[in-house]
Amino acid sequence: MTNHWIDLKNTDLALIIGANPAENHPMSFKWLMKAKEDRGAKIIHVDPRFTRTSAKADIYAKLRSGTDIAFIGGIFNYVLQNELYHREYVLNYTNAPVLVDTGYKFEDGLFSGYDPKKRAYSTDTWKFQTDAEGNFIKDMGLSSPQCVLNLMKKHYERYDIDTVCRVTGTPKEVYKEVLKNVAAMSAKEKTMTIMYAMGTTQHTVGSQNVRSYAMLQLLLGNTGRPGGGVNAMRGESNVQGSTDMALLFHILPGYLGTPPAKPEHATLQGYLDKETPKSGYWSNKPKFMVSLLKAHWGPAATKDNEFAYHYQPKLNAAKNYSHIGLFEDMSKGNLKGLFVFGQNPVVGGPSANLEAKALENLDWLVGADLWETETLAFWKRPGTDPKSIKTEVFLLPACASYEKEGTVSNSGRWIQYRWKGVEPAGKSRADLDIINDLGNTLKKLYSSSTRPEDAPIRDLFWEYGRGSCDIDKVAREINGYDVNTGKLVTLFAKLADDGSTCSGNWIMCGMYPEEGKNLTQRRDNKDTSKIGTYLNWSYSWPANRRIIYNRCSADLDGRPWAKDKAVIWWDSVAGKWAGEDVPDFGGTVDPAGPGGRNPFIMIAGGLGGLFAPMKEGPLPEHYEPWDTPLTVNPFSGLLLNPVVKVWRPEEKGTPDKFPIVATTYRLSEHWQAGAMTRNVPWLAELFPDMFVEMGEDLAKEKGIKNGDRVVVRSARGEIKCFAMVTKRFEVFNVDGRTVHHVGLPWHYGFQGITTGDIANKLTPHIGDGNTMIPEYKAFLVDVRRAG
Amino acid sequence: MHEADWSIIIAFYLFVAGMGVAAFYTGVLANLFSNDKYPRLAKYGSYIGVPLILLGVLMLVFDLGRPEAFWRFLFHLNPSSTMSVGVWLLTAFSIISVLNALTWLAEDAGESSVLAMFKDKPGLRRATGLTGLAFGILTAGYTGVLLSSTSTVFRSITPLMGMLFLVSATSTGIAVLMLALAWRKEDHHIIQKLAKADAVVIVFEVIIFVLFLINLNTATPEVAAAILSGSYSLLFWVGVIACGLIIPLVVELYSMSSGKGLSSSAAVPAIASVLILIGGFLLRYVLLFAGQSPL
Amino acid sequence: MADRMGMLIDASKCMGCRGCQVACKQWNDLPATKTAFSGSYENPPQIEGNTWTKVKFSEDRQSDGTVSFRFLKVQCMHCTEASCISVCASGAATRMDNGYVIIDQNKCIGCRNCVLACPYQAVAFDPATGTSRKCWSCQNRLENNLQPACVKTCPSGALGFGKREDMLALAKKRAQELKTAGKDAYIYGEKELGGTNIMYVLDAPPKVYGLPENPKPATAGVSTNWMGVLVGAGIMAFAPFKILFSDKSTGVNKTPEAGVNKNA
Ligand SMILES: Nc1nc2c(c(=O)[nH]1)N[C@H]1C(S)=C(S)[C@@H](COP(=O)(O)OP(=O)(O)OC[C@H]3O[C@@H](n4cnc5c(=O)[nH]c(N)nc54)[C@H](O)[C@@H]3O)O[C@H]1N2
Ligand SMILES: Nc1nc2c(c(=O)[nH]1)N[C@H]1C(S)=C(S)[C@@H](COP(=O)(O)OP(=O)(O)OC[C@H]3O[C@@H](n4cnc5c(=O)[nH]c(N)nc54)[C@H](O)[C@@H]3O)O[C@H]1N2
Ligand code: SF4
Ligand code: SF4
Ligand code: SF4
Ligand code: SF4
Ligand code: SF4
Ligand SMILES: [Mo]
Repeated sequence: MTNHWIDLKNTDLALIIGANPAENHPMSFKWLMKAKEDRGAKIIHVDPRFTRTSAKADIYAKLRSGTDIAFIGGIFNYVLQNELYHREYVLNYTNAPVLVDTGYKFEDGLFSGYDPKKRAYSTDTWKFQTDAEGNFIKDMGLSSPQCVLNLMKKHYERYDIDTVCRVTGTPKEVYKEVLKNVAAMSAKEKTMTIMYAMGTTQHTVGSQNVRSYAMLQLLLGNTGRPGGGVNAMRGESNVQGSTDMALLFHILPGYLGTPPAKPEHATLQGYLDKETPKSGYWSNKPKFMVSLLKAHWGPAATKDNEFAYHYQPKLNAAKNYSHIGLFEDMSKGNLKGLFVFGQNPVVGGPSANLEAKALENLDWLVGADLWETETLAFWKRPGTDPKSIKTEVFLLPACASYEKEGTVSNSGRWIQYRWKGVEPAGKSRADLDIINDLGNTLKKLYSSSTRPEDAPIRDLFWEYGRGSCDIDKVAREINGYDVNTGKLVTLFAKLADDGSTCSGNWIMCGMYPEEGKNLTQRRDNKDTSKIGTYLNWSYSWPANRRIIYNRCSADLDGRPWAKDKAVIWWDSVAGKWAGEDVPDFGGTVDPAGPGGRNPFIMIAGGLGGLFAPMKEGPLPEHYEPWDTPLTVNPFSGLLLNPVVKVWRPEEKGTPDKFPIVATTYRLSEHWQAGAMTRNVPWLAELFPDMFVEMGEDLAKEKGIKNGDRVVVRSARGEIKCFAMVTKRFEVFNVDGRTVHHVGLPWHYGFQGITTGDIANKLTPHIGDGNTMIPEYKAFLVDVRRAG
Repeated sequence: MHEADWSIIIAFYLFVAGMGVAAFYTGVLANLFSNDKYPRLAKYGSYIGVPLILLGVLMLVFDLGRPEAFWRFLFHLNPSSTMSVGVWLLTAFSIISVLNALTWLAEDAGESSVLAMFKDKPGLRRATGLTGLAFGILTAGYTGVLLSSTSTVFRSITPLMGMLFLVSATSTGIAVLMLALAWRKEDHHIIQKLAKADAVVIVFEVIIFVLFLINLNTATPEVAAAILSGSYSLLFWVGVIACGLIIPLVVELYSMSSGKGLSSSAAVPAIASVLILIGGFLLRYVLLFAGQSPL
Repeated sequence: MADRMGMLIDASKCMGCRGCQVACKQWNDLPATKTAFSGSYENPPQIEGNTWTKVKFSEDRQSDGTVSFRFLKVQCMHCTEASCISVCASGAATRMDNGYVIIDQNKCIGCRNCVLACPYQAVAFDPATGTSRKCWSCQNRLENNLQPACVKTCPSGALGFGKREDMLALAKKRAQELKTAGKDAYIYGEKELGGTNIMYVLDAPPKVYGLPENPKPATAGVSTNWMGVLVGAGIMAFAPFKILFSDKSTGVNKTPEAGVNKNA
């Protein structure tokens, strides 16, 4: 989230798209309801199906799964053609006036620089024009066809209301209402928040979906302002923390890039040269990287050995380390062992049949979980002969969050310390303790090894005690300290690139600035600001900022755009920024002075990126999902996102065999792969079995009645479940045809006290072009009565 | 479908209790108005009524969630609770009717019986008969008032429920008396008289029923529809109306008009009686369950 | 006398998450029900001895083609004219000082009069205990100055708890706000059954939410019904018996046959 949960109360319009917060993020509604009550805010919900969120929305706009870019592209077109954007903001705080390289082209779905063999782009022509000093060339009059705004206007010309609705299936009248309401939010005194989650990201174009939202907020001048921003509602309770701590393969803690195994990245100097931009806050990257290496290898990381950079694992360019890539590799027998810590891919992974089968190729599987999940019981799943499976499975009983101590970071980036509520059940242990044992044991095993490949483990700086892990030490290390004095570092600005400081995660540096002052433990629920920043409750990264890019909340001269939406403002007498939040800006940088109007301090140039390179281009373009009901993309000659990796071309669903669009989603009453809720009788009674939701027309066509058993089939597999026939699913009119849409919760599996078939047996093994997140949200199926 | 909170046992209870008290008071009434010309009716009424009413009480207790705590009923009087009032009525009636039955039993028993103390007590018989009559009528009415106060459906269409149950109970009471006398050839004239009385009662019942259904249809058309044309319609038309009212009425009228010939056969009134009893039970069954449909 | 307390359920804010439904079971140690797929989001199908509150779901298509999906938390309304109290023959159902209606589990004998009589189907028989059970407004929390468990849990702010008069004022304020926003608004429970301790703010007529529009207490027809009994008794005693069996002649030993024939 650029903003945070409580800030939702400051909004005038919540555009909820690709999410169902009433069901999956219920607390958000506390604040949305307040916004409704106190300021007459409205809610727009854009979703293929009418949900509990839609029920509370003022406008419900249905769209076919996988068509968000068309939907948002149409808003761009409307806003740009009618000049309804926040002009001052757009002109000054974004790269709208910047001129783009004349080599940049867009033709029939493809940007310039595409290499069909590699299925990748060269970004050479996507550059900005610069003057002799390297500054961007701008056209403040917005008359040049090469300026970003005009390129954008041209790009989205094709996204007229008719074409958009032909693709999305949204009723035109409803779409026009959306356009009107959204565009009105570019007024200075108004802000709109965008709330999104997996309906947005779990697509082959997921990242571009998100980018389109970010661009919309820039156009409307809503980013960095109370009640505005782009708000990813995170998933697992600490998934924000796990992302920050780099549980992903392509980043190191604090969003530093994982070094690839390329010659340019072979040395630390090489890495820093490649990865560090010349301007913007990321120019401090060397300090963060060196401090991280010091945290990893402690005294073994010295100036002379480039702070043990050579110990840092590098990415093999030929490999794909994503979830899908790992399981594809496992399918081929290339992986021998697997640790699953709190994950249940046999239920939650895409193409669940394939993933369960892949596990059979392992020699061993170690799971740390609260339950014997479907993954840990994969060897006895229905239809298998346990005797034929050689994998040895170990289950380490893990304790639940209430049974242990530590921090959890919420979507608003608040790092909140929690104390143990109850003693762990049975012999279960905290993950941290399990990992600590693992670390200590491995170090012991390798302690006398002289083999160079063992050195990274032998030299690993791992001093958290024996047995149970000293969590305070972990917190100090993440924050960072002076390696000579042991004194805690007060803020990331104080980190050094000479090896004198260590920090396990620079963005969290500052959360533990002084002895005895772990700020994540703060619980002061008094708020003196009107906008509810609660600066003394826990700690949010970076630097306890609650609304990031908050320089945008003030006009060019540093005055709030609107009185009731003031966050920070320029105090010309004191010569600094004052306000209700920690400035996300140089505290004494005069708005009239150099850089005073460049709010996006993390980006070179400091301007919000309406135009910014991603894997599939600098501007989001609509492509159809892997399984699509269309044979032609009305926007171009390309159906599929040209940069996604196709793993299994034969497992593609086509509309002749699978005419129905399907999506998967969550229910309030269940949690994820279900172990946490299908084992709780109180929750099991609420939704006791797997079902597929479908509209009345489809049910009629197929002779299905509410409560019937049905079979749902896709190109990947089939499942049996109950039919829930509902008015909340309607037919879509797509490109002049009637397209039916169904939806399946994906919480069920064969373990636990309430069971049901696994929705993911149906989903494809394909992921987003940038992140590889699986396309869980849009695929094709067919449905018939069972029996 | 919502599982019924009061089961078929309660329908039986309402039926049996109503039939029992009615057998008692119809006997008493017949004897009373005829200046003691039908002592046998009073006696049979008493003999039939007492065990039935005790059976009814047992059913009620048996159906409680905690039968062992039944005594709480007796140690608490809640005047606004029809059940509470009814239990007290039942208790009073039980005591009175048992005493009454003892005065008859003592007569029928041999000289040396332990019941000798109840022998030749016309005063006691008369007093218990009259008070039993009053309590019996109230008890029969109570079964209807109970349903109307507990059922959220019928609550709105009072005051006919109590009356309907009273009249229907009377009909079943007469029927059970007829049945008891049916095998005695010498009592056929009594049966004929009872049949005549019953015919009048049935006519009343039909009138009340029609008014009741009109009310029901105005107040809660869904429930009326369930009874008249929905899930209860078969039971209602065939069971309650045909078996319980129309056929017996026709049979009774026919037997009256055709003189001695037919009525001398024991079978005809017996069949009418059995039909009345079936209809009486089904009436309670249908109204009990239709009245429980949540609204 | 303690303050009369109340709960306000704002249906316009309720998002049907069922947190309240589960919180009630958890706090009150009520076991789960073994349910089957119900064909909708609603389950268990009704209030039970071990389900004291639940959320009702309904979906409809409006005349303008839009879909509505409505949620309503239901539980004992704690009526002033409480049918359960009036029909209870054992004295188990009683009213507390703070206005709440509770069933004393020691006194209840499981006759289920209250179950049938409740206009809201809000009390149910529990075969496990042999008694009837229902929402008791978490008296053990109230005694410790805590809100009822369901209220505490509600994430959306749909549930409010406080003095009844304050809740009523809040209801009126919310209804006004809804009307200002161009919505329908109704308050339920202000006057129904003498005023219930639980009140609703609704954005559609009570009937749409499945609430009885003109609920009557169990006592509503009792006296007229008894009158009916007496009238019926009078008519009946008179018509068939007085007329048919009347015989002025005296003497117990007279042959009954004679009487019969004469009258026949
Ligand atoms: N109760 C509960 N809460 C949860 C979870 C849970 O399992 N249970 N899981 C947590 C986790 S890990 C996560 S990641 C979040 C996820 O939170 P959400 O993203 O809200 O979860 P979903 O229900 O998967 O998807 C949201 C909505 O996207 C819609 N949708 C499908 N396809 C499209 C599309 O193409 N475009 C648009 N605009 N919408 C589409 C679906 O119909 C669905 O209503 O929830 C978290 N919260
Ligand atoms: N079709 C479809 N599939 C999806 C999605 C979708 O929308 N549609 N969503 C995807 C998303 S967003 C996500 S996040 C994934 C989630 O998929 P998973 O992460 O596989 O699902 P969970 O059920 O959350 O698995 C968490 C496991 O951790 C255990 N656990 C809980 N607490 C602890 C703890 O403290 N320590 C340890 N060691 N274990 C613990 C739980 O018992 C549970 O078994 O699923 C993805 N799968
Ligand atoms: S699910 Fe958990 S985190 Fe989300 S609102 Fe409920 S209690 Fe809060
Ligand atoms: S709602 Fe039902 S149980 Fe609750 S007080 Fe009213 S009558 Fe009694
Ligand atoms: S079930 Fe219990 S509380 Fe209800 S009326 Fe009977 S005794 Fe009273
Ligand atoms: S007040 Fe307490 S007992 Fe009543 S519904 Fe709420 S949680 Fe359940
Ligand atoms: S907890 Fe609140 S929002 Fe959720 S269902 Fe209950 S009343 Fe509605
Ligand atoms: Mo997630």
